[in-house]
Amino acid sequence: MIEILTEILNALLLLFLVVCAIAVAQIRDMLSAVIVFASFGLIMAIVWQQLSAPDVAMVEAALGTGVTTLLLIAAISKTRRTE
Amino acid sequence: MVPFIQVYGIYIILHGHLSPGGGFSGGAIFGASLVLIALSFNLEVGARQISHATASVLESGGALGFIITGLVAVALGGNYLANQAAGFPMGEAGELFSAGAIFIITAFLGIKVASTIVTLFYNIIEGDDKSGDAH
Amino acid sequence: MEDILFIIIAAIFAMRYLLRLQARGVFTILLVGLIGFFFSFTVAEMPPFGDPNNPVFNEIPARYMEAGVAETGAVNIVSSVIIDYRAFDTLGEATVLFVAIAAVIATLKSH
Repeated sequence: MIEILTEILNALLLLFLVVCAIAVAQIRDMLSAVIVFASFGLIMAIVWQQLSAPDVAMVEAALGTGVTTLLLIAAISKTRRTE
Repeated sequence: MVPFIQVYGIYIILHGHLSPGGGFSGGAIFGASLVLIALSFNLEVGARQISHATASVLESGGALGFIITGLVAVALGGNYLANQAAGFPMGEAGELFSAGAIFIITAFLGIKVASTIVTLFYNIIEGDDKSGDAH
Repeated sequence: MEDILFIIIAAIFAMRYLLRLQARGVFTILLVGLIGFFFSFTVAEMPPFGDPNNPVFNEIPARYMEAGVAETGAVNIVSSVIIDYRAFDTLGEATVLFVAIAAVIATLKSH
């Protein structure tokens, strides 16, 4: 039972990952795209944890979700918001 | 909130050889906590926490400490960046102060990554303030 | 599971292009289809994920698992690999960070 639930969770995570990746490329508003990219990093961290790689999950959650978002928002505040 | 994030980052750096984590992730968490101050208050308060000179000295010092730890291993009679063969104190496996050079190198890496993130953020934020005709 | 995802994504993009078809669009569809075919073929030929008989599970990870704690004193095997066995690679990563921050300062700093 628990294996089936884990499989369903993994499939949902992968599907949401693909949806986030397409949305990042399609959204015209830069700030929304950055926030969707942060959620992409968070889902990616959970996927790494499901693949039993906690080290990579921690680096992804700290760098991919936190620092990348901060730096991209800093870059947006210096340039225009819409492309 | 910020002190708890900093304690968590330091914990991850120091326990890099015992639990998941290490220099890169712990340093990223610590640097992000310093950036959060600038985001929640303003830029002057954030820049007062750590000056540019301190950040650059810490960054170069982290890289230099890494290299010097490797050279100390050569001086003690091992290969470059050797750990047990060079005679670093190993301690008991599972204790906090164990694993010889891994502990030292992880601490230097954490310092370097944290100061790198802080320097990167402040340079991007206040980069072209003086040359206002960039856009 | 991954094959189904690939097919879904390819179908979405193919529908978007088929709706506004031009001469260049046909060429693009053919090119993307060719690349996708080779990509899917390569993925299908890869060894199964997480199989213990995969070629990556040779004697080197077994050696690290057995002798890692005794040789490095670190309980975390990942740490013992990246900071002890492969410490020179990690030094290269630190150098990459250093060069990146030097490039940012040289580009953005206004004097």
